[in-house]
Amino acid sequence: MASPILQVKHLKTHFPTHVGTVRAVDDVSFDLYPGETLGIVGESGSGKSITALSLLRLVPDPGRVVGGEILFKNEDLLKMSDEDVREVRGRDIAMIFQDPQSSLNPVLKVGFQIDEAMVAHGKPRSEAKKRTVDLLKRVRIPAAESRVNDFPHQLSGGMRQRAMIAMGLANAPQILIADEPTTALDVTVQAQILELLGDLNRELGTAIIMITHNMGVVAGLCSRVIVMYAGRIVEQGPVDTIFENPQHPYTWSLLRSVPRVDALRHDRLRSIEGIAPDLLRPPKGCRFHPRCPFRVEKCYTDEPELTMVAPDDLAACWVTMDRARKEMNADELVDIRPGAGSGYHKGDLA
Amino acid sequence: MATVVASRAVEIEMPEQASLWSDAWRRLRRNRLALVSTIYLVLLVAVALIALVWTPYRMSAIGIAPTYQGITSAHWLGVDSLGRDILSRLMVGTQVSLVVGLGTQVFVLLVGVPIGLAAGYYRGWFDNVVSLVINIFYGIPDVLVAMIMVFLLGPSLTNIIIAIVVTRWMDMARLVRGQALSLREREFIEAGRAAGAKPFKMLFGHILPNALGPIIVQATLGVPGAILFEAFLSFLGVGVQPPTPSWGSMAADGVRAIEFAPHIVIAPSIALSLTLIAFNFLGDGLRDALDPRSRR
Amino acid sequence: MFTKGMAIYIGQRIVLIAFTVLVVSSVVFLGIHRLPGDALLNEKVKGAAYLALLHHYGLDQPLYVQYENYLVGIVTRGDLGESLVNRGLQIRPLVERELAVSAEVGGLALVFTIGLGIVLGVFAAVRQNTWLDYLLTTTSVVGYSMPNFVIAAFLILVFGVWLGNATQGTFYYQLGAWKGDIGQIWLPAFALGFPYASYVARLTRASMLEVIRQDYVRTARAKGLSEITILVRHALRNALIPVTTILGPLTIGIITGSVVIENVFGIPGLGKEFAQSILNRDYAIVIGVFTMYAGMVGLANLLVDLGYVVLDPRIRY
Repeated sequence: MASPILQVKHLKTHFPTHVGTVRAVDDVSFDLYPGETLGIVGESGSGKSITALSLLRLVPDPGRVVGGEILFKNEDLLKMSDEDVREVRGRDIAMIFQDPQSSLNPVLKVGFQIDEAMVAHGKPRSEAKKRTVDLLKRVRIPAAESRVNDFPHQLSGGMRQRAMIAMGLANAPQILIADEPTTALDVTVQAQILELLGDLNRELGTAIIMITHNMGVVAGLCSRVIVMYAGRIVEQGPVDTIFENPQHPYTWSLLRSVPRVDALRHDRLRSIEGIAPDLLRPPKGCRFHPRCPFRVEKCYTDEPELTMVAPDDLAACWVTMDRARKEMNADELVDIRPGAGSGYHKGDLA
Repeated sequence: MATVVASRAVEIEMPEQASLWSDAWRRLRRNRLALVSTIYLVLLVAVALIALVWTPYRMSAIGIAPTYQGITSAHWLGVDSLGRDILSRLMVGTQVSLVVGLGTQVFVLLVGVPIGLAAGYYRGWFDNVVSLVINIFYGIPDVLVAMIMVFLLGPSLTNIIIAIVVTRWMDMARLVRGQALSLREREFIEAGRAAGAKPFKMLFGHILPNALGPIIVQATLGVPGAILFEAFLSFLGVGVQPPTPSWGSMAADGVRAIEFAPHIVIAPSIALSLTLIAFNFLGDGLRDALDPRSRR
Repeated sequence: MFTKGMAIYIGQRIVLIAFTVLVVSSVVFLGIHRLPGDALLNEKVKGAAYLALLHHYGLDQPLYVQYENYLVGIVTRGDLGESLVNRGLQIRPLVERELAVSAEVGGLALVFTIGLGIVLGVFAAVRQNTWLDYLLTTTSVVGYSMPNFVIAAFLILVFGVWLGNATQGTFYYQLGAWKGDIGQIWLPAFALGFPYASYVARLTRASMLEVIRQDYVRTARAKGLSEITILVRHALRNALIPVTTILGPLTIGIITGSVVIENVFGIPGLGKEFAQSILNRDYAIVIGVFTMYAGMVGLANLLVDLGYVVLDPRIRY
């Protein structure tokens, strides 16, 4: 296996507020290999977006990256000067965002905004303009030559997102970070965009980090996946492995909660009980334990580390689904309320 | 193997529930500039009331000291070009400014709010007419028209108030119209209509209370505008006529003598500035306090 | 940008402006002519001489005839009539001369207002929550609260009296005969523009703060653009849109403010003329000047609307 192009080690990004410090990203580590598609999945507040923003040092105030290393081409992005980071942005590592309507400047032409990305990194204006048209064609926008002079509000949602992708790929970066690029779009358009991203990944060899809360997106596009919860990674591994046999109860619950086309009509929708964790004061012990059906005593007190619980599958759990299936009849459970599987409850749920 | 879960509800710490008004009041109290301004304004009103019954000297008494004389122990703010006590005149001038400032806003509210509500809520031809009228009025140079009006009608306090209201009512009307326009789309209005509430009740029982915040802010900020307006008019000589003192006319007096008797212009200038500043800070404070979006 | 829709819109606006000017000047005309003989009372003439005067000015004709003549005069000859007080003084040349003076001072005030205001506003936004920012936000309220004649008086005191005395005339601001050079213009222009500069600064700051938080600024940063480029090309262009909204009222404010400022500094401009004519009861001049002002205001509003269209491509008609 080739060596990774990006190595994130123990990344911590915190938001100091007047009511306390929100630990949005709390010790996250992963590698990214050339040309691979990595998905980072989790619910709102899991820290996935902030992780992505931290990679390019785009964390909004009052957030600060307070620890860890981000190694790109053997240099720590966190220790680089502002000037150097500016060069990496848009050229080596590019990022596209969730809502293309608000992420594009409404008063500037679309073509100009794409040109800009190239001109900022040294390309002459005339060359950039030509390449912009090519890029728009690449992302399958019809009538690219005239679209270049349009303003964002003149494009449809799907076209805007394609334009953003074109903007991201303008300088042929090695890594493209996509922060929920399909969330704000219609379902049919979503599928098209994902297909586009997959094709581009194969054609250009650009590695893609896909941030999403949608397991379906991950399944469709990514080869590896990282599952985040409450600012930490709870499971990571190849998509096939994880989807077939998730080891962490959270991953398992997530996959289970996706409604299936072949489900019986009277089957109830299965959701994960409880509320999203408070990042100001995360639960003691395993952060998922207040919502976990398979928790045991240790889960209340000790925070599990990521360990290889199955071949190619890293999970941070004391119990794991293997054990839950053997000892707690996980597969037959209808009721997955906290503690339902293990039968374990403690006095206080802190 | 489902076990009955005797789980205790997770204790969520919720902020104390508060209505918009108590919340706003709390936030306003914390705004020091607004607080100081309010204290100043209260004192100002006190001065105006006191002046009704007492001033150190009669404000129209001419020649009670050598003209242009500066600050002395007998005349704390000095004496003007006709030998009148400036402090006394300043105190009476307070009445003029406050009456104009607050009076205009009362009428602006009476005129602008109903028009704005009706236009914004009912839309249709009435709104088109009102909007056109508002646009026309915005094309008028207000001070100039007011000058002509006051001069034609006669320079009395009432006419000044009328002139200011005529040239500035649109600010309130436009604001209220905007509020009505956006509020009418909200669900609770639809609910009210579905329940068969009469239009009058809709307008004044539902829409108006919700628009009250911005209306109050606009009215508060309209006061310094009106006071300034009157000061301009009096400065130019088309405002309040002597012997009634206005801070504006006193300042005009002072400018004419600025090279040898600067004290004459300084007193009303400071009075005007402080009053206008105070109202503006108060208005700002109210706006911040009533804005549900600001986080503090 | 210049589509048929645009042309229609401009046409509509011009019609509205013309209509407004017409309505307003009509109202003023009719209002003033409630008292037709007043100006001539200054003359203290009686009998035949009085009637002759009335005839000379056409004041003996029915009101609508006078109005018609007036309008026709303006449209065909650009003739604004003759002064009632100074017989023989043609109004239009007078107005033109004075307009030039007022425009100079007002123009400088406008440039200063917008320039300084925007620069300070951007600065405060970029340095949010520093002492500089707090200083600016507080002084800006003070700045636009103070009447312009107070600022003028203050400046005169400092530059005309105190500093003049202290430096034996080097920094002396001459309040004497009007020469119209920069030495004399800058003080009134500053007094005229300062309140508005403060307001613009405040508005720009608020607008910039909002814009800087927008997603597209984050995108610009993610592309690796320099901070200056982001600030000017992305943030400022959007932030200036709400500022453009107040440009109309701002121009009107400077126009009306000039009436007072010209009075204070003895500037022979349109504003001073207007105020004086009212006091002199020279209604012919009042109407003439006023009509001109109304036209200027309308023009200013139109230009602002067009500026809007230039700035914000989402607005198309």
